[in-house]
Amino acid sequence: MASKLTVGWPALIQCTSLTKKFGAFTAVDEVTFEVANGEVFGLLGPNGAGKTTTMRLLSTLLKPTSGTATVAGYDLLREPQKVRASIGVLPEETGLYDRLTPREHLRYYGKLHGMPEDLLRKRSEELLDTMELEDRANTKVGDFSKGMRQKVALLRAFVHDPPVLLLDEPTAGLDVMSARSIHSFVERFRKEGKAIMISTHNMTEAQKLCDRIAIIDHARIVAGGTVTELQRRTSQKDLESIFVQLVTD
Amino acid sequence: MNFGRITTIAGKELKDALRDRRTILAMIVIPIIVLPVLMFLPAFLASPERNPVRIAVIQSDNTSDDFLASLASDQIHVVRVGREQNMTKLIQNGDYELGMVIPPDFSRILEGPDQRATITVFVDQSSARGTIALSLVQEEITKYSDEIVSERLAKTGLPPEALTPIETDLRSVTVTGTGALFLAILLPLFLGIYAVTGAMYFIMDTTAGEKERKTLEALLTMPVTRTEIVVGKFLIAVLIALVSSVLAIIGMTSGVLVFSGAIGEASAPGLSISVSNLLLIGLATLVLAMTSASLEMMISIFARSFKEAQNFLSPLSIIVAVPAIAMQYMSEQTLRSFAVAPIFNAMLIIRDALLNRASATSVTLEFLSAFVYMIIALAIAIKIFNSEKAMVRY
Repeated sequence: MASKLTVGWPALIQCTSLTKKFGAFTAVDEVTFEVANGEVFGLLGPNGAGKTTTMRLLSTLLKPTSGTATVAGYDLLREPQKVRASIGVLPEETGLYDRLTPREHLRYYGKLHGMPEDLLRKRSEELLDTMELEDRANTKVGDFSKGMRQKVALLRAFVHDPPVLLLDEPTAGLDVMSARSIHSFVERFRKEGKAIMISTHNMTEAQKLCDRIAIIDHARIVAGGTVTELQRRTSQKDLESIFVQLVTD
Repeated sequence: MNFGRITTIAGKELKDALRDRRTILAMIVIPIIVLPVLMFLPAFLASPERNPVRIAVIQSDNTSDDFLASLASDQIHVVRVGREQNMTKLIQNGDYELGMVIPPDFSRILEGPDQRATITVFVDQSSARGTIALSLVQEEITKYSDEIVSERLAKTGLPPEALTPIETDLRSVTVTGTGALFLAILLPLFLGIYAVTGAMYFIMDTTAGEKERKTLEALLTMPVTRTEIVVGKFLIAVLIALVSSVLAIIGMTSGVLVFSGAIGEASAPGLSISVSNLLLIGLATLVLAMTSASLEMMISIFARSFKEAQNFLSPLSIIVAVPAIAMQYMSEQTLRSFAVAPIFNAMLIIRDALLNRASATSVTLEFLSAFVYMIIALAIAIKIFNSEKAMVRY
């Protein structure tokens, strides 16, 4: 199974036996996987399986209890600042400032990433344009719908053009149109060679977007590989049946 | 620490705060308008200069006309009412602030060498205007009575000294005027309250509030250190507390100017502050803002939600008044032993500067101790920021 989860060459995300315990409770248990550039990797699992904790470990919000990971070649524990400079994060909740506009958000986070002024301005305009947000770029996000907020939060993750993206439930609770535009946005950056990791419990999304999938349940990865590999292994056709079979086994 | 990133964080915090009506309310509107008005308006309204007190008088005959003429003034309106009137009712209804019943043969009683006339006074002492009326009337009666005493004495050939065998000769050793004394009581209290309350809302919003709204989680995934985040937020908290303190001084001063005359003693006579003392007050105000901002950040970061932070911080706005009030009743020696206590130290500098008795050694000690508290509080705040348990909810 491990071979399906590793790529065999220096990957942008390399997790080795990553474990996180909160007291007696193990939230992530010996998780090992790799995500290469130009790849969308899906972490698929039921609620509470450990998806968000894995994402938080990789974004340095939490420190692993044991095991390690490198992101863009930097070690989580030894170089957290460099890890943070190499990732773009879409957290489970958008975490936007209601009194700031989309343009101000991009400017703030871009500056925190040390982007030069002219590059930041160019990049922000380009991103706002891609997400069709330029008309609302000067409106405070407090007035935005959920879908629009999600788009702004996604742009925030991409503003500094990081090699690695960690997207936690990118389309949860969104309408079809918003979800589609987020999918095409992710597709575009996959082509640019980013390593994109998505956590989701949406099977259609996983099947549509992900090159490889790891199924996580009760803190452990129970299976991994491409959808075809998983189909072969479980003799099931659709991802939902594959998932149900693996999780109930 | 990267100053560019600190400036970026501080800049965003300032923009965010200035767009928040609640911060504006706490920082600008309350210190400059609400509190001065609340403080001076009652005195203004109760003032007999603006609004003379009304006194109802029942005369038994016209022998008291002369006395009533001396009683009437710009501040006292004397209204004669019929004997059938019920004084208690007249006052309780609010028609008059005070009532007097003058006995018959008033002037004849006074002319005699050894008789006394009793004036019955009706007043509601639970009302501010009633108390003012009473003291005004009593003052006039004493004056009138004194005149009669000297007339009686003159008739017996005794000198006025016969009645006051002991005299007090008061020599004030106050260095500054009563205005400075008045400010020495009020300024530490007000600056303390504004340092604590001015930025309180902002601090709760930018720490516990950010945690609750999950904006902090996004910020923590940026390549900034936790120290930079704390320092950036702290700088704006200090700025807001400082602005609110300065506006409070402006508000209080303009309050005194607008309503002065109404409250004579508040209009700071005999106040002259040297530039160095003024600078000292400015510095102490800054220190007060820094101490309270660091303390509030430390407590507020610990809170899980805005509401919890509110519960933790609200008592501070009352607690801060304790040293300011206690200061008035403590001996100088006791005061000195409290000189290094937090908040107390800065308040003491303000008081001493106003009274022109600040000494270099005590000021240095007070400033140093304030900085030590600030550094400790900020260090704890940074430590909490670094703790994943306090910052990230699982």
